[in-house]
Amino acid sequence: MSSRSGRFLMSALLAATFLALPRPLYAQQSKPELRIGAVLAASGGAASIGTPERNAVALLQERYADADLPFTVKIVLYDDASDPTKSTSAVRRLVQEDKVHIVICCTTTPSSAAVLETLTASGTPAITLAAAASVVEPASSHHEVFKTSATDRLMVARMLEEVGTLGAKRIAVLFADDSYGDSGLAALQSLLPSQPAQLVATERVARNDTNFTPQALRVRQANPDIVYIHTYTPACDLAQEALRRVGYTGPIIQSQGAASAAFLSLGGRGVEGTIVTVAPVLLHDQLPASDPMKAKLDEFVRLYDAKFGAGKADTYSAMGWDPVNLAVKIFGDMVQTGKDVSDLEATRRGLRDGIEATKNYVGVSGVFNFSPTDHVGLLPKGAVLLSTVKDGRFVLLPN
Amino acid sequence: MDTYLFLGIDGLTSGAIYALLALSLVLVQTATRVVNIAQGEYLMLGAMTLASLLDGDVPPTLGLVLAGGLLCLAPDIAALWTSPRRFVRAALPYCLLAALALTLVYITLHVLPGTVMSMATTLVLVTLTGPIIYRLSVRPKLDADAVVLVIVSVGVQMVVHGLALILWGAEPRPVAAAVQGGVVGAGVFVSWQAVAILVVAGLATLGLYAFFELTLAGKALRAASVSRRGAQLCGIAPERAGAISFALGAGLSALGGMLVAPLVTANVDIGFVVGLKAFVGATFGGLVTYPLALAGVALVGVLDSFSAYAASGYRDAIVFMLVIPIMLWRSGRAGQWEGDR
Amino acid sequence: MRQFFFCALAAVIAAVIGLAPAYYVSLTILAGIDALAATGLIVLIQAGQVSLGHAAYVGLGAYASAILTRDVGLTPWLGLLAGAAVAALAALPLGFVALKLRGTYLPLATLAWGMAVYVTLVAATPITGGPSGFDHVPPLRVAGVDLGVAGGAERGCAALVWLLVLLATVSLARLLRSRQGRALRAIRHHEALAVAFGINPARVKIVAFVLSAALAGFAGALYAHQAQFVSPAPFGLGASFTLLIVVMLGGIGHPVGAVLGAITVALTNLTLQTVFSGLISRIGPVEPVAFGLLLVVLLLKWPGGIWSALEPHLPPRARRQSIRPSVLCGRPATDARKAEPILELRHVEKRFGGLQALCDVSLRVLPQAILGLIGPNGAGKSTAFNIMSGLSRPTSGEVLMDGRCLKGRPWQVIGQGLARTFQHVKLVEGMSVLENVALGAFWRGNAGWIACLIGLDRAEEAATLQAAAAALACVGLTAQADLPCSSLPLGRQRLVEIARAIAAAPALLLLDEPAAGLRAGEKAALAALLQRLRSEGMTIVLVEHDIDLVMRSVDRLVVLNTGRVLADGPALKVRNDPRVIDAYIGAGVA
Repeated sequence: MSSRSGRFLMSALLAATFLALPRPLYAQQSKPELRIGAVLAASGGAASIGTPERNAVALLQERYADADLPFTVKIVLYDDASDPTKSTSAVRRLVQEDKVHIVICCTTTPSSAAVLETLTASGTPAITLAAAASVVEPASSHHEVFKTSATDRLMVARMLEEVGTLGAKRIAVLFADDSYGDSGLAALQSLLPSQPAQLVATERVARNDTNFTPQALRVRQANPDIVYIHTYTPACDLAQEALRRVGYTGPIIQSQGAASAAFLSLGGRGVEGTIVTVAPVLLHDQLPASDPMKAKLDEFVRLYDAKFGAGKADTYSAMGWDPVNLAVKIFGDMVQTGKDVSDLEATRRGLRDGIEATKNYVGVSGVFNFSPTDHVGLLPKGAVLLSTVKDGRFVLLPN
Repeated sequence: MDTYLFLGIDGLTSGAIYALLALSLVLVQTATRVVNIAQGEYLMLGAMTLASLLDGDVPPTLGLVLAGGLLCLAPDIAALWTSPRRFVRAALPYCLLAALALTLVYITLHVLPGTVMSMATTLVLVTLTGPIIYRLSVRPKLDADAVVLVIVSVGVQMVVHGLALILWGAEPRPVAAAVQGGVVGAGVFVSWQAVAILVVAGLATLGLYAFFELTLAGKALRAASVSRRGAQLCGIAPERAGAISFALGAGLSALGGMLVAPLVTANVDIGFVVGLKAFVGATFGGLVTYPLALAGVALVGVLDSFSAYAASGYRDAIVFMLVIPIMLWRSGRAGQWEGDR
Repeated sequence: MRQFFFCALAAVIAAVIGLAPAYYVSLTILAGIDALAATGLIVLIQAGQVSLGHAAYVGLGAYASAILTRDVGLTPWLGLLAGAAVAALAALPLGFVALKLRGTYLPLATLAWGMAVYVTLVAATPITGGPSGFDHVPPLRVAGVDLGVAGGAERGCAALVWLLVLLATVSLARLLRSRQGRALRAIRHHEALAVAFGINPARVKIVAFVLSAALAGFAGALYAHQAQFVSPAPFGLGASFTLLIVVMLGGIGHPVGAVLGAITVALTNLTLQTVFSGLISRIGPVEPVAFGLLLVVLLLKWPGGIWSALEPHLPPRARRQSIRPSVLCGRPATDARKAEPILELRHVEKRFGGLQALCDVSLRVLPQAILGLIGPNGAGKSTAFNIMSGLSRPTSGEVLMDGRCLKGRPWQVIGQGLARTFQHVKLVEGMSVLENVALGAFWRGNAGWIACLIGLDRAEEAATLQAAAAALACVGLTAQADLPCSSLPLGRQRLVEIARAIAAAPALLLLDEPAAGLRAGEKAALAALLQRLRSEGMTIVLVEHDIDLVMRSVDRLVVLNTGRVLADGPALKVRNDPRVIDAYIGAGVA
């Protein structure tokens, strides 16, 4: 490339950069503006979870762009590539530069933990999508953080309940060796002492492993009554396959990581009869009409599937749906009651207080009742459902 | 004892997953002196393209090949005005290859769907990406330092993997095995797919040996990597040699990806995971000999099996730590430090 | 002046830290930490090693400091040092391993080690908190202000980080220009050269590994106290490659390349995030693709990095002192020992497996004389030369220097008075002519690593440069002292090699085919130089093929044939010996 065209290219690039830089957001608005920031993993190890979350947020961004509301909704999305350092930077940018009122962050547990100090220091409320209970409990040290979906502790508790119901005494587990598996294992170990069941084998697997046979062999040799697998696709399928191949014939329970269409299509006939802990969205058409979430679930699935394809609505997209809607609702309440929403810090505080005071909010991941001591707001029974795989579908298991 | 036998056999068959990629690493290294960090991505492309074709979709790889070909042709476009004949001569092979790619995809999707046709089309498509990437990332600076070329291959890996994530998404896809079922030996289930991989790897090794040792073309490729100037003086175009090497490497990796996908599912991250362990296995032979590369991946598979059984949390750490003494042993045989001359 | 560039860079960074909005200042903190770890990597690459798993040391430093300060109660300032120490210790085994590995094995060993460390950090949950990491890492405190992410004192933190980067860059630049730095850079290109001039390659490589790891560990500890949270994710393979990208983009020629690279990467990421944040929902995660594209394009355009593109436009380094050379080039022997041979081979045999390279070779090199060693190819000249220069040991027989047995490791030979040149010129690229010659005086100094880092070696360095200038004057190349050595024609490069050997103040000079590839005029200059050196008291052994040059220069001639001494005596007599003419020279040559 000649140096003249090189220089031209450089100046064009620089010009484009300056034009693309965000303008100050203090332009005179006729309506008050709600600014929501979202930091989700679109690339990196957690991309398969973060992408549906992002899709839901993006869909809402579109819908709110031409919704008829007394205020405008602006959503800013950043990709943290599953890296806590990038998450912290992105949240800082949202809080300090984009001046958002509320942050939706993050997809993974370490990212959510890393950004806590930044959120606390600025008083910005946040709704996290990570699985671990530790990112949102205890509420006293997580003043700003809320969660609008089930924590791993709730899921593991529900799973252990089922284990008890089935009368199994010896349980073997396979946990992912990432933060999802780690926090799930910690939850299991804290809940287990109060259970009659006994842990006979604990094995670790990686999401992208190519061989699960050694761990499966170890599990089979421990002679368990039931096996629990806590990882994402494709590992949850391959691990189950490996278990069957080494000769384990007993029941298998899968975690929420397997609650997706991919699990079914990868597993085929091999996953028939597996028990899977799911979020309500996957069973929305099997819920009775009296269920308070049914209407909202049906609407969410209809909208999401319309844009992204039939059967695409899953646990993670549902997790991305509630935070935005909740924020919009609280902000709407604030505007309606005539509160002044032009002061950034006051609005952040107001949003936080409003979320904390919310009772009986019907979302697509559960019915939420927040309080100063409970920032998750879910009762175990409602938020985590058990299903079994039958004829290639998730079928609700009655309680 | 049963368990040890079980783990040993299991390790050997799981090592097979890395075999073809390890061979392609050795191939690219011996033919171009480039340690290609992006080699695993060809395996991923092979798996994903096959998954797309078997699902009845137009594989995004076709778009990559066409766009890449256009980029390669870009420097010659200026000739369109000054010397149309030169442009036509330069563009002709690209047009022919593009037509071939389009025809194959059409046939696979509409005329003759099925595993065999899909695999053939995948092989052609991914093989074409090899020379394209060579043309765009290695050829501009053939004489660059080895470390620079390694980092350039890191950049290529980012681009290819990133594009795959955008084009296919993060969800894993199932790929039906060409041969279902398997055989049970000593209590261990060995799938026919794994056996097929080992057979193909063995044949590939023989074929590569024959090509590089016995044919003139193969020797020319080796010559071009040892001394570019010398090869030029003998009438060998280093650029063409490099392009052919990359094509061969891409094809071999793609074959590996197609055979491996039924065992581990097709997802955009397998390039990295399989690539790393294949690297370790290929190092066993110093990245220069094929049989030792195969032995290396077998060793890696067995080590992996045993350490996953013994301490599944630390299995990767154990495998990577054991790599170093093995390398010390292999390197020691390569001769002591000698003085001048 | 070159200093203006560095001052300008520092001023720009200071301006950003002082004036930019808080978010951008926090980005400079991360860039600074990257730069700190990358400077160590540059030193390692300058030593010819490469580390594909360097982020593991950053991680070890981060975790070590975080655990010690949070659980054991150590103050964060000591935690920084502890982090550096832990990382340095972890690099030690790899340093030893690196000595034994050749070719592609070494980078892959560093990769494997880095992966092993990363996986251990993830798996050792009770100690490290596992993949979820652990929080509440105490921040650094300066004057009562917390310099962590919770404290909000970004500018203070950035100032601290960049002050440390400045310190590291300046010290390492000093180091690379000093005695140890020359040794380091020599190892990278020509290990045999380094050994011949008294450098122990093992020690240099290990120190390079440990130093770079210590810097990385220090940077990691800084990161931990700044973010007040550690998890394994920022220390995996991707992070190792990011460090390499920073180094290659910035340029490995100078430690400031780390700064340039870190700033470039940070700016690129910021721009990409700004430009693409809206597009991700529509297209997908484009940032990694764009970054990869940019990386490939930039590296192909400037394989040497940004520094290599900038440096030619900067004025050259001004030399601080003027050189006043004295002109004694040789080392005259005292009268009493005029008759004693300086170097003697007694019944030396050398076998390589089944091949007998030398058989019962005995010869003596008398002081203040030039001895020529000639013979047909395969006669064993190179073998004999290597034995004389101490590079290899005879299978049997003795090599005596000044009456004492030549002993010790190959790099201890120069201390016993032997200096040599090489058949294929081995000058260190990137160093000037004067610096190359100064390499010859390495063994005469003793400034250690610490001294070179913090500047305690000024006096010794001045003396070394004086000696180098004197040696250059001996060969008549004073005017070329500051030129890059690669810009000289071959004849002058050989003279530089001879000057380098002279700078070692040897008792004996061993020249290995110095006339190979020279033109007639250059050969005449060489012959004249040899005569002059001899007249000033230097003793020389000359291995050559050019009979003309040999006859013009040498006093005595030894002819080797198939591993045995065919003839040994005054030059003219040997020249006319019929056996010699038969075996080597041939009739018909005047």
